Amino acid sequence: MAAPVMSDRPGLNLAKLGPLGTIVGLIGAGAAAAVAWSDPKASQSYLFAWFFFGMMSLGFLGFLCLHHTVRGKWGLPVMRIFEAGASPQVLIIMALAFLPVVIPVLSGKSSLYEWSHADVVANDPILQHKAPYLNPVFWTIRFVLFFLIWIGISNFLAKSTAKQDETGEYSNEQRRSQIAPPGLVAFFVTATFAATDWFMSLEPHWYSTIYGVWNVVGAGLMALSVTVLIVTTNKDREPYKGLITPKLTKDLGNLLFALTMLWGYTSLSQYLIIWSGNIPEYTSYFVNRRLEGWQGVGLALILGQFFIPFFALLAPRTKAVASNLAKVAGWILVMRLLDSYYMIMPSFQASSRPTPMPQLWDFVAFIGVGGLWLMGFCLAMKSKKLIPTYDERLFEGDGHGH
Amino acid sequence: MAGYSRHKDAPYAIVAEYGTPDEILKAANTLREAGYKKVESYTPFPVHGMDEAIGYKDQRIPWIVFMGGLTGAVLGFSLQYYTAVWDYPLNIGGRPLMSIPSMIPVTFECTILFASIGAVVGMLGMNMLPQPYHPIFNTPNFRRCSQDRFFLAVEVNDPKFDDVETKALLESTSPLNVAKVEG
Repeated sequence: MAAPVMSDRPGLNLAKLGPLGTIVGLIGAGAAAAVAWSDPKASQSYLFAWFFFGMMSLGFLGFLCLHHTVRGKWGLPVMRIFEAGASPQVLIIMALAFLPVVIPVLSGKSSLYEWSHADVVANDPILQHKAPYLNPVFWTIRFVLFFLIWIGISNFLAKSTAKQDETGEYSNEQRRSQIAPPGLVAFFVTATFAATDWFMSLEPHWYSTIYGVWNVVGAGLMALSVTVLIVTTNKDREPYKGLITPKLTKDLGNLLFALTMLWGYTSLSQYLIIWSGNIPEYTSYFVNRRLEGWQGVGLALILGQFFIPFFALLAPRTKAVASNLAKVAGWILVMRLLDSYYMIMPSFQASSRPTPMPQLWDFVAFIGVGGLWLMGFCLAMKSKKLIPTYDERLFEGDGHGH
Repeated sequence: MAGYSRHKDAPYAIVAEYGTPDEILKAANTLREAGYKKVESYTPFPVHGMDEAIGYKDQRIPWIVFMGGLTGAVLGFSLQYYTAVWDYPLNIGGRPLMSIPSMIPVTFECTILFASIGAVVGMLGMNMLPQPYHPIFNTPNFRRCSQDRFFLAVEVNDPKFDDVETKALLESTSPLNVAKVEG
């Protein structure tokens, strides 16, 4: 192994992006939410933006629970990124950012969810049948409940690792490994219901039982590729210097690989079952995604979200070289963005989104909600050490000089 | 790795015995850094990092698996194409004869099947297994290799092999025992 080129770049300080995120977030998301109040198209843009960053936070939460469940060595250098990405700060901000979607549902004026209109439900037997579950009040109660559970889990885990860093008390770690596995189960159940409530119900006649897993896998891909991007592009800077070894990037690359395959598996399963059944209630999802350019987007996703990362990550040298893995992670993130757009936008009536051409408010809302997310991430990073010091496994010399 | 078609009682290797995975790993690193190439380890369970320590860089198995998978994909797909489109076309629910979604599961399964057959057969073939006789079993105490002892063999066909030097080097890695093994 060649000696890594040591640069004298200053230590990594992720929290310094906070003010930028705050300004961009408050202006962008504020403007988008204000326009969304009266303009259905802008509210669609807003929901799309929220989907991307909201699901990404959930992906971080899943990885955080996973790390404290399996306690693998691979998770230690990146654990603080998982923690910040799913921090109570991020989750509270994302919950507040969802209010522009929730309030119209409660007041019966939502342009996004047709099941929230009493007059539509009155004339629709299918929606009447679903009404005991899918009604504005119960939906809002669930929204609050999901976030309380997530914030509870994330708050406990983050506090516990910070405490162990300070005191070195091993009992903290034992407690985490008792909370994290049930937390992981709770995460999967709540994330499935949340995806069903917030995104599947955009097309309320349609349903798919794999939708929850599919979304959780997609969320995991987003969170992991952001993590990989952060650590690989800063591998020569403190505190990552010497920790981002080929072995670690191989582990992270294999995880990306596994999730890519899982994404392909769940996507295909859903499509294949719906295609084989060929029943109108089920096929509506794909019928809505066959108009004009949307079919092209779907085909591009098969290639870009599955085949390209699959073959790229198959090669060991992609995973062993940090800069190569960074490129693949960046590509996956862009594909997640495209897939998010493809999942949300065609749900709305064809009159408002006939083609996949992005519109002004899509950009504003995306940058705005992204800014809010960054603000939460940086707020959480402020009080954290990027590398947990409680686990001596992190500092074991690997003896090969790389 | 290689076949041993030498006559009886020819020297085979110098074998060192260790009590812990850390010791054998350290010894294997020492040997690799000294330039030895024909080093084999025999351990009761997989020792993490051992393949790098003995300088194992063989990429043939991954390629065999990959080619196996590719063959399976092509065969699985062509089988379905031949039966459903060419040989016995059936109208199923008005779908096109060449319905790719319905062909994916079988194509996928064939990919996995051929890739795993490639992995197993390739591994057995390249290790020359099954092998009814192997000189390593002449090592004293080798029974415990499947229990709690770790063995490191430097084979005589290593270009750096030297009766005295190799033995001295192995002895410097604090083994429990070093033996010259003949086959």
